[in-house]
Amino acid sequence: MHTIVLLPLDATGNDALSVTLDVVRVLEDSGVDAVALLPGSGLPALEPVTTAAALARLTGRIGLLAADPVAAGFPYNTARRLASLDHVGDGRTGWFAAGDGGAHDAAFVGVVRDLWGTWEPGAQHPDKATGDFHDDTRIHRIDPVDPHYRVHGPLDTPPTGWGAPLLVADGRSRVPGWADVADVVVVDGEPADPREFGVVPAADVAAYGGSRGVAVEGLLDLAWAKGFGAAVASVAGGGQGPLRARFEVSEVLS
Amino acid sequence: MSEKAWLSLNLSEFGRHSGGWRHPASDVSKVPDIDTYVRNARRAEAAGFDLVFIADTPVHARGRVSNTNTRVDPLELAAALAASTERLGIVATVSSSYNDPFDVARRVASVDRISGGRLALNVVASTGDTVAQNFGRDTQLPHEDRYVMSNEFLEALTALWDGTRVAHEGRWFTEHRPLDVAPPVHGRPLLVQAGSSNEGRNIAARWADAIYAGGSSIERAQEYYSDVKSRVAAAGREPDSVKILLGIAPFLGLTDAEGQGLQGVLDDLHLDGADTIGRLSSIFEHDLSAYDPDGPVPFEDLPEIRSASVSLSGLFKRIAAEEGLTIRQTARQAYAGGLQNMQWTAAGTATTVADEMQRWWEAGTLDGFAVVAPILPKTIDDVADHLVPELRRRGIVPEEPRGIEEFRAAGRTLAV
Repeated sequence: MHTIVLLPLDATGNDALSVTLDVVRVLEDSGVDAVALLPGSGLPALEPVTTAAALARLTGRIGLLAADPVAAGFPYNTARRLASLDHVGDGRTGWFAAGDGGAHDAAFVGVVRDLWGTWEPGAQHPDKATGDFHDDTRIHRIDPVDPHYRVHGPLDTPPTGWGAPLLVADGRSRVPGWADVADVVVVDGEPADPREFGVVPAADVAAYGGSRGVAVEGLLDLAWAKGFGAAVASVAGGGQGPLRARFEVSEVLS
Repeated sequence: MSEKAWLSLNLSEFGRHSGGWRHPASDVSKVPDIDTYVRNARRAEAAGFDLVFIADTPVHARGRVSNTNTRVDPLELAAALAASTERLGIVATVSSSYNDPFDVARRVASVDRISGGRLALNVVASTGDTVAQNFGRDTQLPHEDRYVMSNEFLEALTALWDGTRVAHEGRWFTEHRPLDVAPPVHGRPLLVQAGSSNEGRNIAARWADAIYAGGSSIERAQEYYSDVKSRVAAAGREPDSVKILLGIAPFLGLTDAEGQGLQGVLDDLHLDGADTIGRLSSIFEHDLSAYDPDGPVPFEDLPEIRSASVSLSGLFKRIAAEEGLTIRQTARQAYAGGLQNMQWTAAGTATTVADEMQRWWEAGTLDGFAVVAPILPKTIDDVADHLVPELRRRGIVPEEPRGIEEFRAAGRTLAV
């Protein structure tokens, strides 16, 4: 079984990072695959994506998913910050995408995904002898351009050697088309049909909460990985290496 | 003027010389390599640097060569560097043209907390239509509008951090939401500016705690220094509260010949196989391939610049005119001389380079040095091992590292 822990960043004050780090290290030691950093409530000190970048330097194995708003702002910026995070975490990171049910949520996520796919594998191949750093014939603009988000690309940030950041969608936000754009969808329980999201109580809720003021919502069972049947294979404990491989999401983005 | 010079290092993948990546010392097996960024920042911190600078241009640069900028988001990189350093100030660049102030305000506040108040923000107006096309526009806004927008962007950011009730209402940005994270550690991060245009200088005079400047001669740098400081005074601020950090690209060696040789090697690596006239054509927005490359630059045929950098095209028109260069010579200078054109360069031993730095320092052109490393990690290693000790001996930089808290405290006045 894969486990993702949802962790709202509620910590306040100047030691918010170290407080959060303590919790994440406990989760890492317990064998949790990934922690999803969510916006905190009140007036918290930290924001998820930048916090994930700092935590990536201070942890060794745990996957770091970061929530970043869908359909707000510019998809190019979203694609870039998460691709950047993936370089910082060396393939150990991903996007925890939670929509608000808006009509353009899936389109926004789709554009981000398309931007991650603008570099063919091996398009960057620095060759000191010839002086060619990358091959522009293998780095593409997005075509056709989404009518709502007119973004040409390509992304300037090249992919890591592991491909794109893992795209985990929060299935509880019931966005039409969600399953078509995400690598992994988190649900509250086992969906009867992989194309629908079930709502059953979260299994295996563990109490990591209360550690110096940072709340942990609990452990959620992971649902299924797109293109790999109904459920992710059962694996005890957390894996090693890039997150895409651990969640068995190996297809190249297109 | 500051009593001792501040030190800043520009970070990039292989250094700012575009021949850097082809040098035998450069490791191209993993690019971008965050571990290398962290290593260079730590090396700078240990050597007594006060700041590291992360530039940003959010568009893929077509062409065969490497990028001399940073290709990762500066705020994510800043967060990673903050987690790996103790004292160093970290300057992250953010475009005012293609960002939502609310989004930037909360991300900046977060990185500032992560760093314990060590973040500085460099707000820039982005240049170019290809950048605009990543953000829902076909073409960029005119030059003046981009600076009006930049100013308004800073107003919206500071209103969000200050917790103003109606955060901001303006021509470009309207923001009614209160910030959903705590404000930065000191209320707002340090604000820095770069850019030499009239509008850029006025924005710097109003907002900046530090300015990254370039200078091609002592006289021009003196003019710039006094012009900016008087604009700061005119904006009602203490002139010393704004530190001018002058870019210098040092090509260091154990002998003068070795330092000069490094510059030559990098220029040759960069020029090898390059379409220099094509590059100049895009700077001038005019196809020069039909002209005699050994003839003069056809100034009368050059159009008014529409989307390229006005500063850059103006620079090469001036150099070509003043020095009577042919198209081929101008193109070579524009291509290979990138650093030398925009920055003051010095080549030789640490003693030779320190002599140059002392001359500029004593001429009153700067409050600090922004080291524009031609090649990384080599330049920061050489600077740390040889140049900083030499500057210490001369009393130009302090014996003990200071760090960003002292930088913040020195002559600080809040922008109005």
